[in-house]
Amino acid sequence: MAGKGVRGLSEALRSLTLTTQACGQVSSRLPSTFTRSMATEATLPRATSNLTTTSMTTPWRPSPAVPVTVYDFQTYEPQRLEEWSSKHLHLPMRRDILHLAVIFEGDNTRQGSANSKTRWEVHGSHRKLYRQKGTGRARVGDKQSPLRRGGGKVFGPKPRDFGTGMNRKVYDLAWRTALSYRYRRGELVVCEDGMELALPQEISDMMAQGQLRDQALVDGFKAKWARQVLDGHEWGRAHGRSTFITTEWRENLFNAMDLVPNYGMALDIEDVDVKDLLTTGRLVIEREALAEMIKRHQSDLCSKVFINGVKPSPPETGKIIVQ
Amino acid sequence: MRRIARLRKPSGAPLASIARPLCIQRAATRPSPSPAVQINTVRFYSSRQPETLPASLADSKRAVPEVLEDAVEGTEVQEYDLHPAEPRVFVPPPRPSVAERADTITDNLYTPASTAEGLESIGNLGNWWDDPEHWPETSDFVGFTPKQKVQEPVLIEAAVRRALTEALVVKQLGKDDQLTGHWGMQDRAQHDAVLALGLKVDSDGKATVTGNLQSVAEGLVAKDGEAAVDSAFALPSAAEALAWKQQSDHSWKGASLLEARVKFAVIKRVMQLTGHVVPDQKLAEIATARGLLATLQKPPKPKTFSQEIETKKQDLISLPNVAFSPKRVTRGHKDMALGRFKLIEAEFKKRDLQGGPLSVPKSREMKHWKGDA
Repeated sequence: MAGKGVRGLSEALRSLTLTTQACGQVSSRLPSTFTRSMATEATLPRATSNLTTTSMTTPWRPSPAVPVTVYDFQTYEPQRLEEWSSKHLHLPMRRDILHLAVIFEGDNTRQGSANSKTRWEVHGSHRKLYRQKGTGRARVGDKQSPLRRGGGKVFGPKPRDFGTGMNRKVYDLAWRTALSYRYRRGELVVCEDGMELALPQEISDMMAQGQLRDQALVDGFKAKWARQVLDGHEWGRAHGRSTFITTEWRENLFNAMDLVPNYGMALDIEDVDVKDLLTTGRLVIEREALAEMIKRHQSDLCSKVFINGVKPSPPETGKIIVQ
Repeated sequence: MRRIARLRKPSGAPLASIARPLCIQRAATRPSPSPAVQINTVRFYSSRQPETLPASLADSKRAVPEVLEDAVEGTEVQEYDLHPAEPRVFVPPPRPSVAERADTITDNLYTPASTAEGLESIGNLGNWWDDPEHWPETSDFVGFTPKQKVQEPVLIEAAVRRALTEALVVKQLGKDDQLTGHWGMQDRAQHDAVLALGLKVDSDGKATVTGNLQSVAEGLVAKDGEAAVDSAFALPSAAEALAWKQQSDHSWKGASLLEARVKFAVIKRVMQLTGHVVPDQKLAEIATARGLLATLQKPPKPKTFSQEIETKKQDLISLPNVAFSPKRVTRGHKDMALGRFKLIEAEFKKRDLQGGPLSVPKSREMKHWKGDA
């Protein structure tokens, strides 16, 4: 701390010798820090030292496309390299939008069927229980009074729609932001189409021949096989579980993932929402499912307005570079 | 009638292929952006033969309990054999046997049991596959990556050099289509042969391989039915790799990886050799072999915060006014530091009381502090 202070002081003094310097030089020799923190030892931001002429003049131009490796599902062998649009898979993180989307989905998933009876709905006679005066007891009305046990509920829940709204373009942006977040963290594994848990030929034969009639036996095999596959690729329980997303129901994969819920889950593309994309350790997704997902959620990228008689096309994506 | 399966003696050489279910066929109406790639060389489990058979498999009678065999002597036995000619990797359970009805037994000495006491419990089939005799280790799933991830930085460097050399050899021989194919995992000798090839890199990063390129390229072609060699056998030991590193110059690390096909081939091969997957978002940054090494050689992330401080933030621990403890400091630890814990333990023993663990849940700790029991 003390050393930093001395350095700061000497730099400050040096910068004050303005007489022999041109203005441009002065700015480059300004002290990196004028203040020092009282609370922490964290390095203070260097205001001027990192600024070079190149970084001042060259604007940041992000790459229009990002590479995506497509793997074979079960073996995890890389099959080819593709280029996907940055607007699909490399968007900046927007925590606020993701939060909005997850809350929006949660609201719309609520069943909203809670129901309680008011005093007018509780069964029974509305006769006055006993007379108003002369009993020495507190005055009462009918049995359904909210004050009495078994009576009605005053402001109880009634079936209602908890659903909220969200602008479609914002929701679509949230969807792609979630995918981009996964991509950036290396948690988006894109696999070949037709992702299915392939069982060994011998077991398939045994099942076809009726040797494995006991369902517990088949389930036991599928569960152990799925655990081995997932552990082999570091996708399993020890590595934060995985979400498998396919275009349609795949019997072995979906059954096996139901049997090993500690290892992750498998979802049909129709069942996926933004929260699912953010839940587990990684997404293992079929290429076609990813393309379909993006196709459905890019309303903010392709305008409906025709320009010069042509409808603007969405950004090109999924171009094969190496195969 | 007796229905007891006799398990045939398997020869122990697993041969299996993948059963691809029909449901993965794509709908014809959808455009196909990714053509299906048939991998001929895919093997789901190791085809190395076990040296000795498990005792249960060597003895085919084991599956039939002797008691049962004696009890139903002379009855017809049904055997089944799915593929008499093929060896068996997974052993299914025998068919269920049906006990004779008590009223049909002619033996006068036989009295049916009236209680379950003394009867053997045989369990159910829920954990049939957990038995290594029913699912031997050789039948375990084997993917593209090795079972054990290579973590030694020297070995990773050797693997990158090997992958780079092999990719450049294939490219120099003009076999560009081979660059993206499946390469066989050869043995140790092949590894040494590849590393022995010369690799010259000019100032632009253009690399040239010299030596016997043809034999290396031939060795890369994966043969069907070839035994899968785990990279543990295909790579040298850490000491050997270190010796190799010390006597080789490091100019090869400047080799350019800007060409997409070469980069893809190198990364795929490194994945096969070491088990390290290069995440997609890093691909664009990697321009040279040095860049790839920097990505791969990062030590694994510490599992706990205390581990991270111990390994990476040594300067924090060495501060004079900071005490570091990997776990929560409890009353017991304080007693230990003061030398009081031994006395407490002795007093506990004297009174025949349990000392209890050093660390107790916070709720119990609070009770102690409050003076509760």
